[in-house]
Amino acid sequence: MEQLVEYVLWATYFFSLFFVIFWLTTFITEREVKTKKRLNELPKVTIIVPAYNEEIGIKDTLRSLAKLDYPRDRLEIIAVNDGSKDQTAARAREAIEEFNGTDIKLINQENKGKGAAMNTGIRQAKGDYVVCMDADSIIPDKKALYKMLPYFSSEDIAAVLPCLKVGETKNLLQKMQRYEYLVNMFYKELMGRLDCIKVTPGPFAIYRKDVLLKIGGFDEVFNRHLTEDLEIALRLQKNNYRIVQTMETDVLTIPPDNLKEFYQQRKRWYKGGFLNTLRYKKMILDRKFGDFGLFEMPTTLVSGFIMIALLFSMIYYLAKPAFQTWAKLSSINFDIWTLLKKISWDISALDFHYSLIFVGIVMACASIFVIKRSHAMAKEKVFRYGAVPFIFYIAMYFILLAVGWVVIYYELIRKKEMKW
Amino acid sequence: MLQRKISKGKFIFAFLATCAIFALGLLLGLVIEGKRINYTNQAYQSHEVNFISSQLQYDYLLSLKDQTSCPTVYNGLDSNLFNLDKTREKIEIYSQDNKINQEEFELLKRQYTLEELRYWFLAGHVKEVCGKGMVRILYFYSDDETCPGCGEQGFVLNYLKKKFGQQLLIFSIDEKMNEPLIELLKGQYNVVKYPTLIIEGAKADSDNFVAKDDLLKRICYYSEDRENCAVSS
Repeated sequence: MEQLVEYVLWATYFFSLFFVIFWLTTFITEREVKTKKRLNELPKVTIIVPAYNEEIGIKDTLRSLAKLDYPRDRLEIIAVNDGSKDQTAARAREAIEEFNGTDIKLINQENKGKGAAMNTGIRQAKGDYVVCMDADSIIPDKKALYKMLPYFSSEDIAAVLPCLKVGETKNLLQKMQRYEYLVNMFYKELMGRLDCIKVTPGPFAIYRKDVLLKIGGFDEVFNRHLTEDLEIALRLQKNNYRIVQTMETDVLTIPPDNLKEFYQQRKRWYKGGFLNTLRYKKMILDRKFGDFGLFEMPTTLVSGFIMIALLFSMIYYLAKPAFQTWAKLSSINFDIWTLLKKISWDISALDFHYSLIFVGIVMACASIFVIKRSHAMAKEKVFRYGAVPFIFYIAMYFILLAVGWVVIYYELIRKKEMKW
Repeated sequence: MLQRKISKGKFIFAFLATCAIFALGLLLGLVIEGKRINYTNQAYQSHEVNFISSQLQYDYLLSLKDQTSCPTVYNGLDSNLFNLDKTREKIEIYSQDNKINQEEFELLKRQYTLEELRYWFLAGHVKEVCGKGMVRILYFYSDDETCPGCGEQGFVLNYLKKKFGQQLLIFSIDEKMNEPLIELLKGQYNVVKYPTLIIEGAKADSDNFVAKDDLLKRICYYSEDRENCAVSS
């Protein structure tokens, strides 16, 4: 058993290190090739806000959109209330009244899921570009459209994404997610250089409307309760369209502030990622799709296994000695005082496991470099909230994620239906 | 439409760099392994000298029949055995981590086990001269698979050793060691299950884990340590 755990752990280290080196090689060798085109004529833009039970956030979202610096006659905002059971529609109407000079529409429909709400908005949209905006996010950068639209520099670019950041944080869980979001942005930016972006997240992703219509819009059935933003990205990749990740514009989102909501969200993301990857399994290892097929798609599938392997190895290495120590101490009726009274320290430099320490140091250095670069790229400070969230993120966060993966695999095996 | 590419060069580089880092780690491990062997070999020479010292002290006792020197001799024996045991435990750990030098570690383990047995015999002879005052336990242990209770038994013995100090000498023998003398001892004491404790030449009744209180009673049967044996007696 111990031998097996050791092999699994080493294999996990190997793959993790391989991925990190691959990213860093990409970072060093693949210079940014994003070109911008001059906006001679401002295109018409439609921002769609799909909302289901978003009474808390929708007003702020619509406010931040209404304040965008973009000609009023070129901007249209459509809020799609997807059969909310709360006061979402009322809050949206309040925002519309507040900004009656701006073209904001509210469409109410039966609950059909986010993809269907987006498609409703697209069908009504007059813009050449449509923006998806989650009703729990805000865009603080008023010039966002001016900054992002020039990235549609060629016909094959179907989507442009902003830098998704965590807004104000209340607790440790949110502060840890802040690190994750920034590292993800760094990763996405790098993968963007290889045309390997696999998700176009809800907050302020801009799409070319004609492309969306051409490929059939958002998925309403399979991803009704899952991750339509992931599926659409995979479909864009399948149709050989490009997705560009920019770091110029920030969108602020509010991550879950409690474990229950955190796990609900992760379950949706990871399960959606896994199932959608399987749905597009023909792309996996298909050379026709370049790095996306050979690297990104398999990575999505194995990342959960890596997390779980790390979790179980850690449990094994911590729980086994903890259990043994407990059994030993109980065998001497917990007379720890006698042991401590005559304790003898006999530790020499030769007693340490240097192979493991060496690989660990290399991985830690690479991780610190990635975190530092992520923050530099997003113009953020690593220790914005002090050292505690950073330490927890490094030491504990993967446990939270791995637990999420365990739940997902369990549900996948039991074929449990997904709700969001 | 997008022209896809395969970053073959990056994949190969990342793979080779990962292999190189792992190889470096492995190399470092091998260098440390060599250092560990050197260290334990050198330590063995020191233990040899210690044994000669204890042996000469016994010769002194025997020739002069001077029982007033017994505490000093016991103290020397205890201290030497303590150091020997520490190194033996380190060899056990090094041996588990070891990747290549299996034979050398086996030889070292054998050397140290024989050294423990030499001390066991010597302690027996010293006791014949000095009489009561020290209890010898021969502890046969095995690996976790063969002997799930050995971890706890070793811990209990270590605990009691801390309580009794030089009044208790524990000689740990790995039953898996391919050593004729160990086979002879196993045959003599009918050792078939592990852990097995031989306390002052008498096998503990059960062929299994001996609990702390039970073991304390057995030790106190032979011991003159009033402080630790007051409750159990």
